[in-house]
Amino acid sequence: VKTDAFETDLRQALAREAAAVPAAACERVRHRDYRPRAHSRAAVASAGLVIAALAASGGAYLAGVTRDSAGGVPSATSPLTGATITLDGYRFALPAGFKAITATCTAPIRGGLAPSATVGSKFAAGASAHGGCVEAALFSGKLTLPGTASAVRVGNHQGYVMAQPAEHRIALYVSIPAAGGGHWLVITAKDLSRAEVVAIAARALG
Amino acid sequence: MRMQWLRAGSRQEFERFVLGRSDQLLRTAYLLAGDLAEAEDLVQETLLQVARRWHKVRGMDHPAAYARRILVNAAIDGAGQRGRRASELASAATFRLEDRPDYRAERALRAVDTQAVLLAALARLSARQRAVIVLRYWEDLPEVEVAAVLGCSVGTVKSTASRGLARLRAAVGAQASSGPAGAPDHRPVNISQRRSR
Repeated sequence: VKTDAFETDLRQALAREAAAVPAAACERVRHRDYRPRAHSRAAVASAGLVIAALAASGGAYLAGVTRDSAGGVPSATSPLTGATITLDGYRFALPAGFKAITATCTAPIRGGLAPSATVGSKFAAGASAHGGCVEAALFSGKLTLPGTASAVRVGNHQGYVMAQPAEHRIALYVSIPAAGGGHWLVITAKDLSRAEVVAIAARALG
Repeated sequence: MRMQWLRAGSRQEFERFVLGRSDQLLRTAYLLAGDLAEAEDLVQETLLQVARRWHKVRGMDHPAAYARRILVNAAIDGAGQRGRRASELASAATFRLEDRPDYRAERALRAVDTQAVLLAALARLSARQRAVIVLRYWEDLPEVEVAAVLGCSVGTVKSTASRGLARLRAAVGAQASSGPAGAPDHRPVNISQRRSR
């Protein structure tokens, strides 16, 4: 391959690949809230107490966060200062502005898992006034992961993410060892980033 | 900080900056990371950092260059984590993309496609080589600006680009001489993104 032709091919390949980024993804990035958040002294002190408490209790959550941060996974998540929803003993702290709701708020992700049975309560959900929502459910049984999932660490657990960028929807599947067979925690969300969904799950499982 | 941000009216300036630059940042991030979700996270982290320092960044000659530098270095720093994730994905017993008929078909199609060969080879370069190639051939930056982004000398940029291009050429050459059977490796984490387009 001659240098000029090769470099032309390379430029064209990169341009075509870059042009294939979906418009919905650009839209999503454009409309996130990037304003610096105010940190009051009280909030900083509270955060310090929470970190100290987590460290004293074994620091499972902190361990997960540290590993992710060291590995370069962005920590660009909204603070989990919204409502806390509960599902079979797991407490899910939601991002600021989220409130608990009793109705289901997300449709299943296309190509996602087809679990055999739910475990315990059916689901727990929260939503924001801006259209964001998050729903958690537990499933049992052996599940086949879809080929479109990508692996992610969720604290000390293995998770898999599936996204539908065009619809701003994402699903996180986390394998949870349990007596009598494995369980799956499934969090489905709308208008939340992968980092935010992973943070919600890591905190609940920590 | 927040009061200063609002009082100076710089919020609107920052929002204009995001509107004008985020698409390019996202496309660059996608080429660097090879995964759309990773790219979005990289851009989000970059713009949050820019927002935190906007009172300084707004006075710079080239705020976009500052944002690009944050993005590229975040992508390089996070490359190890992405690599581990990709290999974890490829080795999971329940997740063998090689066994999927649609994947084999996609791979066969790619074998006759120089663009696909180039992109697959690009994904196998080191994070730094990939950054140099993307900045030179997608962002069209001169070597001196690539050096500024990466915080290294122009000589290092030249040698890194040379090694990266040699590997890309070798991949294309191998594909041309061996045909479909010699198709290069894939980018497993990117398959879903391709299907969803």
